[in-house]
Amino acid sequence: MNKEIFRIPMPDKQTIHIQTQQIVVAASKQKVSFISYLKSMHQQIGIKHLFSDRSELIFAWITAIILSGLFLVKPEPSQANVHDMYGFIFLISPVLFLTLSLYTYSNKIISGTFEVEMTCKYNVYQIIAFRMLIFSVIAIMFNTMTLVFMSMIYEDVHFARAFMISSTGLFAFSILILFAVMKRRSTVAAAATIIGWTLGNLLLIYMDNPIYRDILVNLPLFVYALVFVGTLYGYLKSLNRFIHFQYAEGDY
Amino acid sequence: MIVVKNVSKYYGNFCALNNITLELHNGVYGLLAPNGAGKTTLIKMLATLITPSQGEIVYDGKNIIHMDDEFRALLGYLPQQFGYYNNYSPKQYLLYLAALKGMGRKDSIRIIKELLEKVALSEVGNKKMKKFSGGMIQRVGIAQALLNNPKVLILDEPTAGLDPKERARFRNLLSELARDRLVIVSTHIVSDVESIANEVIMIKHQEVLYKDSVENICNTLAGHVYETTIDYGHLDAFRNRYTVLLEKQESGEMNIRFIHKGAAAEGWLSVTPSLEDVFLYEYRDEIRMEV
Ligand SMILES: Nc1ncnc2c1ncn2[C@@H]1O[C@H](COP(=O)(O)OP(=O)(O)OP(=O)(O)O)[C@@H](O)[C@H]1O
Ligand SMILES: [Mg+2]
Repeated sequence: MNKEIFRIPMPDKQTIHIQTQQIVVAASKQKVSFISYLKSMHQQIGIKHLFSDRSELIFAWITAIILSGLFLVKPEPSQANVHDMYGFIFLISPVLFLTLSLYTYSNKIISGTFEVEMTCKYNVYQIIAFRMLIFSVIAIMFNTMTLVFMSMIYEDVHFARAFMISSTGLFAFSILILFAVMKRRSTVAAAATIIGWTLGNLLLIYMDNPIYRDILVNLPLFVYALVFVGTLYGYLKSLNRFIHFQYAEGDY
Repeated sequence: MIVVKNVSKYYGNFCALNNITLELHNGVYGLLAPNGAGKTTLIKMLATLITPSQGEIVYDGKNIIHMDDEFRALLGYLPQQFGYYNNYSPKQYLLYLAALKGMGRKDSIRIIKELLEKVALSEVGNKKMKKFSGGMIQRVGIAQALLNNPKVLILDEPTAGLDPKERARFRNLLSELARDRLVIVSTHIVSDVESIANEVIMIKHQEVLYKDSVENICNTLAGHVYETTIDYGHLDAFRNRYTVLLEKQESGEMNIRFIHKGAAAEGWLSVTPSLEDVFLYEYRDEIRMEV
């Protein structure tokens, strides 16, 4: 073994850097934080490969534009109920984010590259976790832009409240779907979550329950802020768990 | 060293593998069994794509599932169905996978160039893979499995779709690689592993039938394989009495290779058993021997 080492060609600078870092990471395996893990992932894989498929990004933009359009065009400004609007914001805010993440996953399954990528050092779940984080930032930016427009068009929609509702919706939904994937380990569970989310929210909106309406419109902002921070925390925690997730039965 | 310890795998109630125990060192292992015997199931467990229902697989004493990315960093894997992105060239795809394997860019470029030469794809390295033939794609798959200079190389039917010339090239590549690593090759084609495997593993009825050198496996039939020539008209009767391995028509008569575990009759020529003989004999119930 020891003799062989001297015959190996000298690795390039990036490799040395990466490997030094890997040793550091390995040495402190327990303590690696989520953020530093993502950092080393970014450094080793590179943005170009993390977002390798251009068609994905085009797809994302189109979805985003359609969504913003939906938000702005849908109800007649004069007749819109502000609580309905908030309800829809909560319902729709994860959609962009969802399409981005699901597209990545299904694309790998369809092209049959899933298995090969699963056996790489950074496997599909780690890549998806990374992308989900980035996509959620993009989704929040889009939501924010849309909400700015909305609050200009509809007097009753307050930006701060709408922003927290939409972000809470995004994180809550992500927590649910990550939970479904990790606990039930199947695409069926993921699909059920999506359908459940949509139907559940629609039901709440159309039943016009006064409590639900109250929560949306009258709940103090600081309570929303608390919920917002809570879901953000839960979201980051589930992403972290997802990174170290291994599926068991092979029935993905 | 990999040790497979009392591993069973169930798909629901269906038992695909039952109580498999294997010890694997450096060298080439040929995993030889007919369709549906559980080769892919075993290989996927070794590649951590699925987990055993019972038992465990350890690498140098550590459970490969718990090793997580540490084990994947040692692993090169070619699935039975090798997928690719249509719009990628082999170079792009290999660069992408190299990145996922945590390799530096400069190293990757150098290694990819070498590998494409090894699998004779240098000239089409920048062509989109959607224009490739099945054999070419398979060779990209082989190159991909070698990217990270893996200590454990697992190939699920790597020769599927390769022409004889490429098959031979692949065999040479494998025996060259196997000097300092563990190579597991699954196949149902005997000639793929006969000449290069240090040991052949055969699976039957969900269990390990043999794990031994080609020579020792062949010896299990020593003295029982014969060749003879019979009239065409006696063929059916002959088939009913003996396990026929090979039939060849020759100027109105039948040249027959068969197995008989008893005293030889006159006119029978005792021959040295080949791995193919053992395969055909052991799996005679699974394989329909129609000519
Ligand atoms: N995901 C699955 N769910 C249920 N049964 C499965 C699954 N995968 C494989 N099997 C069954 O397990 C058995 C072994 O399959 P496996 O794919 O391991 O065979 P194999 O030796 O690789 O065959 P081949 O030579 O055709 O590739 C088969 O009977 C198959 O039907
Ligand atoms: Mg198979």
